[in-house]
Amino acid sequence: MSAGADAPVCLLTGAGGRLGEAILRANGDRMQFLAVYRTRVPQAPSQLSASFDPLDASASPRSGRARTYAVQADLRERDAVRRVVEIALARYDRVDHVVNAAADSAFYGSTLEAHGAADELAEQLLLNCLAPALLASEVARAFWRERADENRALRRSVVNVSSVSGLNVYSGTGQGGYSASKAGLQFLSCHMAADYERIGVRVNALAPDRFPGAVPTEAVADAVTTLLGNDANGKVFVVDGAGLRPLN
Amino acid sequence: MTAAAPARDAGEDAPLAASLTRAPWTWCAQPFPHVVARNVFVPAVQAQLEAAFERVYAEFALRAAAAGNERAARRYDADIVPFTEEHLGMFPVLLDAAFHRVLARVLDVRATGDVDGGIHHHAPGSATGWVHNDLNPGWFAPSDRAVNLPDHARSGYKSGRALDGTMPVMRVRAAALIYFLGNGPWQDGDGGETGLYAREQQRVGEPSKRIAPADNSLLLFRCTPHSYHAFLSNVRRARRSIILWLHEDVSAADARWGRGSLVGWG
Repeated sequence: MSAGADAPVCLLTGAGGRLGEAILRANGDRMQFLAVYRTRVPQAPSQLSASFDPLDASASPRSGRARTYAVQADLRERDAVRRVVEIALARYDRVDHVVNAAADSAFYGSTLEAHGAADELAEQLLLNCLAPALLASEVARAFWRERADENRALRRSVVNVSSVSGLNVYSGTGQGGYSASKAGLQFLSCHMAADYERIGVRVNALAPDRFPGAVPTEAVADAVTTLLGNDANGKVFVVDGAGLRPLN
Repeated sequence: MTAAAPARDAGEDAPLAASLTRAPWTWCAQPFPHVVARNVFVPAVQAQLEAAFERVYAEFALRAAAAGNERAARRYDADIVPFTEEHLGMFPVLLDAAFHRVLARVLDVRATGDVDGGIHHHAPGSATGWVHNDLNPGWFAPSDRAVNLPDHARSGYKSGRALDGTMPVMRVRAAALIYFLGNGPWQDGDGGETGLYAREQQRVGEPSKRIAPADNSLLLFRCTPHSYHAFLSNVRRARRSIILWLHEDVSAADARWGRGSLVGWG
């Protein structure tokens, strides 16, 4: 079953990744998604992918209007952020939620040798920390800014997917750049929450433990769903083997 | 899709319905339109197909050993046993006209009933293939059979040469099916995928998409000037598959893709 045309619209980045796919699976029957992917097309039903019964002679696999619309974009490119927001609004006429799940999760080595990975570290910081803020800001500029009451009534929100690596130092793992990008995202989320309060949009960060190793990917997706629907604002949440809980 | 009970291909296709699981198939647009499906056949049919594969391959291996173990395909690093009339009863469903009608409908192909195919066995470490589209011609001796496989005693499938005085009919490959079986649990890094490409000049090792050779799964696509695909080296384990090509009239292919689009046999 897929969501109806009046279902909330979520702009989801990292839609082709493990977490993005789980978020689409968990919410496909209650939300419409503008699913942004960089390399891997999301497997969820969209204009690019549709499930069908091979014995059903009456239906074409290409028939119907999928509630998920997949858009390829590299959010490190300056024009990409504006383009995906334009597409979302052109297709759905609104955006209710932004879930920033895209990330460069690579570990680029010891900070002693950062001089050899300058480009990679800069790109990682751009994608993991700045792009989420730029994307939400673009949605605010194009749609949310003049709709504070409506935003509050519809509980519009932003969820930035961070990591416990942004909370803890795991020495000797070479993840200094990744860790810093996620720590930055968490602080940025708190600042965003303060700034976006005026326009009635909630902003929270979610710091999952390693998934699917330490915590099932589905549990992280469920945590995202929870944050989209509750009243939390300006919080950093951890989700790990002990469940979902706010840190601040 | 509608939630209502679907209008099924009933009657003569009832055995087919009993052979397929109810797992949905998935149509994908990128890098070119194709269909993938997992858990395709019910366990009994899957087991029959695996047993038939092993029997045919074992006979081939014995003959190949006696003949000096030459590979069946020169550019394609695999052992291939082409399907002939003797295989019709051995591979349930896959060589049945009812299944071919479903494939043709899914891809919107006007299939003639002429079908080429065979079993493919890639030994571990088989070389990566090349990017190609399968939009090739094939010649068939005329037949009244619902499934007309190449009769190599009467005509050359690739050459069109008449061997018994009967003029073969030229057809064009219109749909390609790869069914994977007997490969065991597949993991990232095992290789043996089918790579799909957005363009012919793409590096073979950098496909736009990789289709893993998971047991009882299939890849299906219309053969077009842009259906670029290639075998990717299987690093760790043998890769077994059954390939089918449904064919259509040359005039249909010319009308759809333009004259001169067919790729001859080099």
